[in-house]
Amino acid sequence: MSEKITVTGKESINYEGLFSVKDLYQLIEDWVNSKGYFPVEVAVEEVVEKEGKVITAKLAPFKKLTDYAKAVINIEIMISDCKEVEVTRAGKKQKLNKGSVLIEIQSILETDYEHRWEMKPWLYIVRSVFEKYIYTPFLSGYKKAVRADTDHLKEQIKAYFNLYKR
Amino acid sequence: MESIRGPTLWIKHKGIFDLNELLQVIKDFWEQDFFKVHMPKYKYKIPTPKGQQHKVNMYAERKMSEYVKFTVKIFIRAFDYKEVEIVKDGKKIKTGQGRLTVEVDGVLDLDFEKRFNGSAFLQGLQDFYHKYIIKYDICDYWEDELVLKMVGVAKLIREKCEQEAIT
Repeated sequence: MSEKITVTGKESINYEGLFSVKDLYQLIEDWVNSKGYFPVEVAVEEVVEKEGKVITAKLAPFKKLTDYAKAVINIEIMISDCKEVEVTRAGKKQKLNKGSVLIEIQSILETDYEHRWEMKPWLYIVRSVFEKYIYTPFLSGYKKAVRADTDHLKEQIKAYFNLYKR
Repeated sequence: MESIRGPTLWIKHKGIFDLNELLQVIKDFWEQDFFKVHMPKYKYKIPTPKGQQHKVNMYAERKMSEYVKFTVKIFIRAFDYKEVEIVKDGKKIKTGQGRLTVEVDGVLDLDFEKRFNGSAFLQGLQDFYHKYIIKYDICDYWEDELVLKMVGVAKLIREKCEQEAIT
């Protein structure tokens, strides 16, 4: 098993009101592409209920930092009571969505994702020593970078929701 | 032969969708990309008052080079599926309604012609070839290419179901 280090625990963003599901999704996808992450949508679920649509999406974009370390950002989007509404903004009619959104973001640093250091018991021990005493400064550098990326994504999403706040 | 598995992608949908159109669109998507599409299993259950049940197993494969082959398996399940008539853009159209679950799995086969299967020496040679010669071709090109194709078909399915969360 590859070692998974939690860099940032589950941090959530809550929002209720007007927004556009398509724009929100586009924003996240643009961010993922611009930061060099590989876009992976693990699961997407959309259910039409009486109160509105319920959308659940689990994204796990990843970036291979080196042959040994990989950054994974788990993004879980849960939208409930999502209805389509027409609003007038700046004199123009616009189709938007209304509902509540919960976004949970967790970032993980995965080491030895190619499972090369676990073939034999002695290799596993060498790896532990290597990671603890030699590779630590590199790992902390990667952790910093992943944390910065996660914070940036959070800020971007918050800024997007602020656009629709009155 | 060595196989590398890609991630499993899940799509779930409850609402309006046309199953026949969906199957056709997936088939066209692969055929346009020069994949061979196979549908080994199609299970249809006698409809209950809730609706019909369909289970479709399909896979698309393509020899990307003489050494690398992509296989993408798609498992489609439709529950409580009923044919309905809806009004779209002022026109009446026949479509379906129900619950849909789609599972997309991808496998990257290396040495699918089993050229290195002969002896222990050839096996060692293959290990060397994979670890030191084409390592980055596999990790940085073929694996990414496979995942991109899987993400592409998943996006197409969500588009056909007219899901909101697509770009």
